[in-house]
Amino acid sequence: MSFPSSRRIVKLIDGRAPDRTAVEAYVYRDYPSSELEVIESRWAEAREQSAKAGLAAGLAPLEHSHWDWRNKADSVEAGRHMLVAVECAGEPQGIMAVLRMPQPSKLSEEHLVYVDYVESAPWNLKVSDGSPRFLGVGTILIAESVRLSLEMGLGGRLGLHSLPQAEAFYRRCGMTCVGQDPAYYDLSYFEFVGRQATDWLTSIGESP
Amino acid sequence: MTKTSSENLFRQAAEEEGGLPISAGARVAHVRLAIESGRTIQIDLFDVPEDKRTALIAEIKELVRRAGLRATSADVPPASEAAKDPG
Repeated sequence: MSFPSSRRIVKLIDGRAPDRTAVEAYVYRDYPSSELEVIESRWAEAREQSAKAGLAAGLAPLEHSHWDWRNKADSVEAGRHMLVAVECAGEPQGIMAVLRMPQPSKLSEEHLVYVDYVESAPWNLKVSDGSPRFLGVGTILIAESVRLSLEMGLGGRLGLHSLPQAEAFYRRCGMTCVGQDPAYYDLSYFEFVGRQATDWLTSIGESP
Repeated sequence: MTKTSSENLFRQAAEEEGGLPISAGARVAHVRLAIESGRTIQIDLFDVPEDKRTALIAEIKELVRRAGLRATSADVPPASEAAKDPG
């Protein structure tokens, strides 16, 4: 059994409260891999329900949502990945796997933090039945990876391969879209370069 | 920056996120599609002792590299044949 190496108090917006209050949440680094199986089974069930509700409401279904948690768990245990999770209301609301080893940037000669995997709980998405439960999960997770990059002396530089339906989110964050990557399932590759990451952190109210 | 203004900035960002998907990283479906289309291979190393996996992966990569070279040279006519073709 492993334990998180750090816990930071953050806020999420309660999307179902009448006045959309900010609620306390926690972001954990070194989240235990033993939780992945539980998360995947709980989220798979919720995904199925929200897909049905979304189809009934005429929304486009989310593709490619199923992920291989077993591979991720092995990799976390082998020390290749660090899991970062946001918890609120007693359960994980989003999870991210970051490579511990800095990777080369595709836009400069420098290195960056590579985010290998990110996902928000299905009930936090617009496709779910009704309003998203909590808002800001993606913002918190990406902000935490920028913080990691800054702490590692990588200037906030960050890279990731976005799924097509998430590209709007990463563009909104101000990341540069490098283009589709034929070496990685043709997914679009995004990077935070130069001052983009620190400017974005400032824009969301976090001091770099 | 005051606490209130930073909270407002975060609120604004969170509202803009507004339940957009944030998914990054390949899913099972991407891997399956790549295998089916012949663009990638998947090898289960579960039964291979951990200390031998790195060497085995290196050997597999080398085999794939050589096969790629062979395929490329088969696509391109030898220099002598190309020279015979006026164009």
